[in-house]
Amino acid sequence: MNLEPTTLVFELVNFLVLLWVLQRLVYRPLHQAIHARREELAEERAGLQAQREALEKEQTELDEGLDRLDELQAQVRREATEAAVKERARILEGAREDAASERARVQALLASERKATEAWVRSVAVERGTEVAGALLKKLAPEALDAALERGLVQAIDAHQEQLRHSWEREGGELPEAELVGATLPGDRAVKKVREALTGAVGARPRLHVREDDRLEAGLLLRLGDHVLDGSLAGQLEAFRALAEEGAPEAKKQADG
Amino acid sequence: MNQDMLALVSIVTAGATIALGSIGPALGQGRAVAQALDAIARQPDAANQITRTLFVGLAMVESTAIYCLVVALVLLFANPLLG
Amino acid sequence: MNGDYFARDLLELGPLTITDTLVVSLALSVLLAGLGAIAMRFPGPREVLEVAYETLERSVREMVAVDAGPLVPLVLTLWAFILSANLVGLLPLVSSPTRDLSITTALALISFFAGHVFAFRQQGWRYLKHYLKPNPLMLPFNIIGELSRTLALALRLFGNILSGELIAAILLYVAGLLLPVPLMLLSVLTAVVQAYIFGVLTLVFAASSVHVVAGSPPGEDGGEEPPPSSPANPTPTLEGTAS
Repeated sequence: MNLEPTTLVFELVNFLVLLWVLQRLVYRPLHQAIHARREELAEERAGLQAQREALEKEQTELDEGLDRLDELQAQVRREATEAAVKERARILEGAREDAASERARVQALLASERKATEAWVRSVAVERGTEVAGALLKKLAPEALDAALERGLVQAIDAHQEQLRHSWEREGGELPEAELVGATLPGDRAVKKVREALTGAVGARPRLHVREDDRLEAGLLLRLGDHVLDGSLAGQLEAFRALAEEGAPEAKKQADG
Repeated sequence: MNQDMLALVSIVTAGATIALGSIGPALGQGRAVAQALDAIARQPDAANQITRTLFVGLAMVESTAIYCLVVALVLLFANPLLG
Repeated sequence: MNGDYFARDLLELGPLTITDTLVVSLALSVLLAGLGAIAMRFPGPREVLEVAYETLERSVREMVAVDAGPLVPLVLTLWAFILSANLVGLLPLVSSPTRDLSITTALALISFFAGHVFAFRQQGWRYLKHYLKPNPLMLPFNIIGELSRTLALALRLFGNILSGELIAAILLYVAGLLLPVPLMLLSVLTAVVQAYIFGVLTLVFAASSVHVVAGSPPGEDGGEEPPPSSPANPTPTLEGTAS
């Protein structure tokens, strides 16, 4: 129960020795081993960390490169698309222009062709038509034709009273001298009618020279001074032909329009 | 006679010492344990730390009872007055 | 009964009295050192030792706010020695060295001086200033407190172990062979807890004296570790596994 100095002192020494021995044999080696291992791990981790950082950096660079490539690709594609659109538009425009000009040319060609044909056809038709018409008229109803032509001349005289008067006055105011030409020598009745009409028109009784000209084919022709009133069949046909020739351009114009 | 009387008184006193001296630490330890359980119930995460602190505290509180025990032992086995 | 449950004198060599507790503690020291030295030579046990050392070292370092590196070997040795000394009493024919007050006093003295040496190495002579806190009038009380807690350290271990053995012996004497077994199981718990507490208190006391000086008003000391946490209440930040 009481304190034993020997035990106390020996126990102190005993414990301190135990502490020292354990420190030498156990604690210090363990501590060093653990410390070394920790440092090793730390170093390893630092190395791995650096490696990882390098890899991450590399990856970032690669990503950036990929981004750039993507951008470039998009740009190239955009440019190509634009160029293609432009080229297509240009080609289309050219084609359209070519087509238009070709069409215009063909149309012009066709038009001229048609015009020539039409002219030819018309001239042929008019030629033939007038020939046939004249022949027919002369052959089928010579009297009616003569009468009609005569009446036509009289009406023409009535219609051209003014001009006839002027023409007569320019002659010098003498008795009017008119020439009446017929395909066959005009009969008295016809001469009389013309004279009456002429007298009505001029206001004086003219002197009529009667002449025959078979070029007229039928009907009568009156000349007073420089004024000529053609009532012959040839003249009528000629006038009709001219009228037909003249009417052609208008008809063509209407067809074009 | 005197020696017998002294021995008797010593034995009775030793019993009274350990009996009375146990009351305080018992109450204190019970209170500490109750508080520690309460704290663990509140914060189960800190149970480890609370337990360790509790053990240290219990040891400190127990010191009082140990003092009483030592006094009782001295009275019983190493009474300086009994020769 | 007297003499059976305290240290027995085995032989006397002049002025030296050799007790059985001293012999057992010497034997335990040799055993521990031998076991340690042998275990270090084989990879398997060595790894076990490494794991145990690492765990215990970390727990010791985490218990206190100051750097307790120099105290780690002392605390570990205290744990190992006291635990084995407590448990060896469970073997038949052998009794614990720690039921001898001389042994526990020696251990408490080591704890006491270790704390002061540690504080001195940390801060030089300035550590003595903490005896004058909070004011110089408290010097005697501080000294008494210092001594009494050392005394309490010795008495606590001694009383716990001795009482366990005494109770077991009394029960054996009174009731027979098997009844002491539950109480012996309880004394196993006591042995572990007391060993643990001895080491922890050593650590806490040593750290607290450093703490008090370092935590004193600023500008007075150049100590580089002034965690200003409760110098009067050195609560350990306990973490880790039991001993």
